[in-house]
Amino acid sequence: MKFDVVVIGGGHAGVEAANAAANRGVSVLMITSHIDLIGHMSCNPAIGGIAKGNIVREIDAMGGLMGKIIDKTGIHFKMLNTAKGMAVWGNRAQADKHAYRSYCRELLESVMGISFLQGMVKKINPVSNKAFSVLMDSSEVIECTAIVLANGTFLSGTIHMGLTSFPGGRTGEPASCGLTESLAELGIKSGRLKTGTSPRIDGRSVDFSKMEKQPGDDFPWAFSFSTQEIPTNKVVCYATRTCADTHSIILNNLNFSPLYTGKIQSVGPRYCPSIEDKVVRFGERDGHALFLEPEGLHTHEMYLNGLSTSLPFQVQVQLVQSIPGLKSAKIIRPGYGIEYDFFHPTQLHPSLESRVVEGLFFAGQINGTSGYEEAGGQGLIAGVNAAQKVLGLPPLVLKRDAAYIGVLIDDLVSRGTQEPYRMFTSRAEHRLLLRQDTADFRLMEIAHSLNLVDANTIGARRKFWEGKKELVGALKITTINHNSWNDRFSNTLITSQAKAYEVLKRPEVSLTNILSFLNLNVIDRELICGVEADVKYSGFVARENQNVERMAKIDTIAIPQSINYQTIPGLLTESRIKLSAIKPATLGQAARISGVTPADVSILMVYVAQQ
Amino acid sequence: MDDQKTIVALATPPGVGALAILRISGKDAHVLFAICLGSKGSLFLKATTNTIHLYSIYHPTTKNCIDEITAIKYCSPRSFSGEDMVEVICHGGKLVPLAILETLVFVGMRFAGKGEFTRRAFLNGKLDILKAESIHGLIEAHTPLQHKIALEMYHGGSAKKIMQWKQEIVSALSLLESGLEFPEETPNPEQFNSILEKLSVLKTDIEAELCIRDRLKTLEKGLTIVLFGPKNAGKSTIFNILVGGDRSIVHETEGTTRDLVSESLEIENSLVCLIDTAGIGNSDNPVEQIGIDRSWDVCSHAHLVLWITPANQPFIANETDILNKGVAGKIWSVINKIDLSTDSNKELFFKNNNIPILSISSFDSESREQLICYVGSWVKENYLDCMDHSVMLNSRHEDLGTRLVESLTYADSVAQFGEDVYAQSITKALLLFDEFFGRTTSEEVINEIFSKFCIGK
Repeated sequence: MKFDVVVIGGGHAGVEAANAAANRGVSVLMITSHIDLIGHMSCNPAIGGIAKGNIVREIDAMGGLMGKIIDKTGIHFKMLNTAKGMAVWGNRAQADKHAYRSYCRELLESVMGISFLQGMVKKINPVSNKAFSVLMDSSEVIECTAIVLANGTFLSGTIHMGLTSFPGGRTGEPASCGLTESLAELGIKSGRLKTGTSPRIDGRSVDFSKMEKQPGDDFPWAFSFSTQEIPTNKVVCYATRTCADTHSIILNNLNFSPLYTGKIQSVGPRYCPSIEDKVVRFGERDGHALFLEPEGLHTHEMYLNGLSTSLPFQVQVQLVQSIPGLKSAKIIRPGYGIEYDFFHPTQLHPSLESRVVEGLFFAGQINGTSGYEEAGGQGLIAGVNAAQKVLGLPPLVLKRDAAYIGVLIDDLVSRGTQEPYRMFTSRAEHRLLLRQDTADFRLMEIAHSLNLVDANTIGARRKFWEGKKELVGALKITTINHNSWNDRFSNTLITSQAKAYEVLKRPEVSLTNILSFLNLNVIDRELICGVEADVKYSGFVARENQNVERMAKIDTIAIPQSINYQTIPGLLTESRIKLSAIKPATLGQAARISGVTPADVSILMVYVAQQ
Repeated sequence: MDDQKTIVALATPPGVGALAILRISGKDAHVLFAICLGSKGSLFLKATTNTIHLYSIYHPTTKNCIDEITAIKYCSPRSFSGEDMVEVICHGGKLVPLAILETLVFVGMRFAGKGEFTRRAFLNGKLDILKAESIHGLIEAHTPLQHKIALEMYHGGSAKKIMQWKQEIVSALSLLESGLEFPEETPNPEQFNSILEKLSVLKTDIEAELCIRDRLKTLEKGLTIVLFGPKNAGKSTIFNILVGGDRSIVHETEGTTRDLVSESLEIENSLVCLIDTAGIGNSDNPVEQIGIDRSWDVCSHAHLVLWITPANQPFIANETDILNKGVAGKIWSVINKIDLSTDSNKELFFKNNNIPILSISSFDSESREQLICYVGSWVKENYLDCMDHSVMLNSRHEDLGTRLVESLTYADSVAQFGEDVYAQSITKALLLFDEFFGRTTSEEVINEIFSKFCIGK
């Protein structure tokens, strides 16, 4: 068998990689250990959230699948942070996880040029600098030009539950062994991380009257820019808390915790701590928030969000039953901790191609990230660039001021990670430019030029952008008389007559009020919110763009890969070591490596200019 | 001078002395030094770090013994510079240290450039920029005040306060960010206002420091004190008493002093520029009038106006008017000639206007001490705090403070737009510290979020 691109892994990174590569017109084979589990949600049954929601929008703007799937299979939608400024809004939806993966497979199968194969990869052999042979455990050999590795937590995965541990990729699925060694032989360095998941509860055993209802939005927002139908909420979630009893059960059983007996050595994510960690580290708190989330419409299984644990099953039963509303709760699947191999992402080019093995691309959890969205974003870029490699075209690299995906990948390749990496809005220094509602405007034209987005989709969006422009234009030429305005809106007084555009810039004035004052009938909520945010943020965006320009200059200065940092005088010793290890592609990337100081960057700038 | 070669320098001042110390640093420091120790070279290489032993030092080709020395061996990274180092204690004088230096250069070391040991220590992360800056300041200090400042900096006094400001911004920002990133787990609608309040307190604090910095700069440049008051009150006499000499012409004729006379002196360790002026009073003489105009002008720039007025005369026609409006706020009064009579009227006036009073007779032998003490107490009252407690010790510190205040003011002005915009502008404020300390801190906020708040589903 021979393909242009082989994608190893059928999770959220693999799915986007296969789709993107195929859209570039190359032939793709997706290899996955369990074909029924393509697009499976192995942790919580939700997509999006703060910053993560923006990534989903970006994936969608670039022709990815995640947004379309969740719009179709979501059962509870909520736009978070609506009280805090549009740059930090984030859409999140609970999914019917069975529907999610079956629609995922359906969409993927409808893409021309993707083949599927169930099995495990044992070994990757670079045959020449333009070809690989992939050895399957069935001894089958597949030839290809580029590979996207998207193995998730499967590489040498070890599942921990109490003091027992066993190899596994996810609960109920085998781990993939041997591949790490095969990559290590090629000179790629790996590390080990830990993550965990929560127990699943039988909803029929829950007393919901003891919990607080968490309904979705009255008017949900879609994730995908091409979704016509507004999604609807079909379920509610519930909130409860741990209590003193829960905490003492945990503290009494720490000697059965693989985290506290030293059995798990690797680092877990700080933003998603196990309940053991929460209780030990923040013992002074009287309770920790928990959320009960339905896993689907056709099952009573519920995800107990916030209770990630690797304690033994019996202890899990006790501690779950100590929680209000869960007194007679039954656990369907216990929570577990998992340790897995990852490859230090500082060994990658910003295109996600390995610096060690040409043609080999890495995406998702094996780069040390966590989360479906982070995986999907990398998968898309790795898929596009694997295809670009095959086609002999330059790679697609998104800038930090253009997309969260750009921030994500730049952080990974420039700084690496010590713990599973999750996106936060605060990681993006230009987050005011990265609003979730502008992802299409930022990325869709690039995606269209790469054939990732078809003409119809972008046509509809261009029309929308045109509509925004028209409305802004109208606001710029329309004058508001302050007397009649103040008569109607006495809590947002204006002192003299002004253009509607200027009035809207004021933080307390809403576009809805202006439209009603001007008798303009606009009903498109997306248009109203988009224009309002564009106008209100315009001053800050202009300020931000100045910073971007300053940064852009040093981002265009390439550093020759042959540079020897040992011979450059005046660099800090620590910087010397880091620069040598990471080999930044540009001066901008060098500046973002942690520990590299502005003085080092100036020295480098002079040095590179002299060469 | 920026290569990685092993460097050597005399650490003690050149000239005659019982002992001298040479310092060697670099990755070949131990090997190159051992070459000069004859048969004991291998012993030196085997010696444990931070130990001192006795050796003889030889020229490696002529085999001539130069001196008997002791040498302390330091191994990287536990040394001043972070590199392998040796400190050699040899006999002093002109000849011996020079001969040893030449030998060490002969085997492949080179003379260290100015400040090169410190520079290497900085590059190897042994010193932060503030410490390096303060070492420079200590060596370069010319006045007691500069020395005091540099020493304060060396001990990290100012760094501590600046770190504290930074920490306050980090903790406010992490609180803000945790609310933005994890809205469902830490819902607290009041939080934003409390953050605004906290940072406004910080801003006031920095502004106060900037104010102190201003006064410190004044102090470094020198304080201007003007003697002013009615004609023939004894200003020039007091001037001469203070500067300790016959600098200004003294005569019983009214209006003797027509031009400004100035002299520098040191009071309370501070440089003071004392200016004698033409006294006020109606004058028809145009030259005298020019002198009075100049006096006015110099008063407006003075840090202190010593209002000298005679005890034996009532206030002259417009004297109280001038005191009330003209140079109010920086007047300390001196009632002179109390040996002639006392005019309680004047004392009462000054008291009512909260103007300090010193009553003297300039003929009294204690008057000098009284005057010095009086002026000294003014210096202490107004400048003591900035001498003892100053955070911003140079223009770099001041620049940081000014820009922090600017950023925080800007952030306040945009807070109404939303927490995202506010957080963004506070982040900018935090970045100023990166520039200041010469290192990046972008991870700190995220680290703080996780260490302080239990967050994450």
